[in-house]
Amino acid sequence: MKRKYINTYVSVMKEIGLSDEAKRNICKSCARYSTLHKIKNGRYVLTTSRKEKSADN
Amino acid sequence: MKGSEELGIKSEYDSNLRHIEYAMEKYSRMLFRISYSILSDEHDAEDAIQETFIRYMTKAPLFRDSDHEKAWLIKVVTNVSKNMLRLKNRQLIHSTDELQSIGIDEENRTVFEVIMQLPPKYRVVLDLYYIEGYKAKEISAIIGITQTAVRKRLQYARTLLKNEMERIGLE
Repeated sequence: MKRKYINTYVSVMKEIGLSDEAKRNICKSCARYSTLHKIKNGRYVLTTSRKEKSADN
Repeated sequence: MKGSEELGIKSEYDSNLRHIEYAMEKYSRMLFRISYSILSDEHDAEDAIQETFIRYMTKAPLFRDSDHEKAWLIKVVTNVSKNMLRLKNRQLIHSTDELQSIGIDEENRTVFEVIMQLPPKYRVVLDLYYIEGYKAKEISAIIGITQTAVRKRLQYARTLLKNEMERIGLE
């Protein structure tokens, strides 16, 4: 009757899960990283805006 | 930085976040279970999940369907977790606090401890077969061993589980 042991195994293992806080943190880190990855690979070109010189200068 | 670029990057971030949240909701429980089976440490498993989702967002191929996507994620989390285990070579230590934080209640604690006595390679196969419902052929493709090895591991794991549960009088 090995099936009995397997049912116990399955019911206990199904309880395991990530906490909501851990999920949120992972989502934020991954979104940040993947966005930076796209920037790095040229999806966006970062430029600095130059201040206009006033007539007084 | 130009305003339009800022907006573009913000919307890219939001879109990435939504994509990850969706995948996280769908697969995180399964991936965490597999990773925890290998690493036996909650924080290491979280790191492995994070690394897996980073690869998912940056290196994933175009998926044929959700089964292909699921199998790809299982393969990646298994490899990432095995690599982490190789690097750390940890001892199996489970504190009561940690078991509660991963969702195991007091009643099932002893059963869980028995399960965690099984070597990781057997736990992963048991998990994919009995919980995720994969066939031996599919498991062999996902974790890169032969079908015969999958069947042998299943057989050995069932016997180990039975013996351990009988030894401590759980069944």
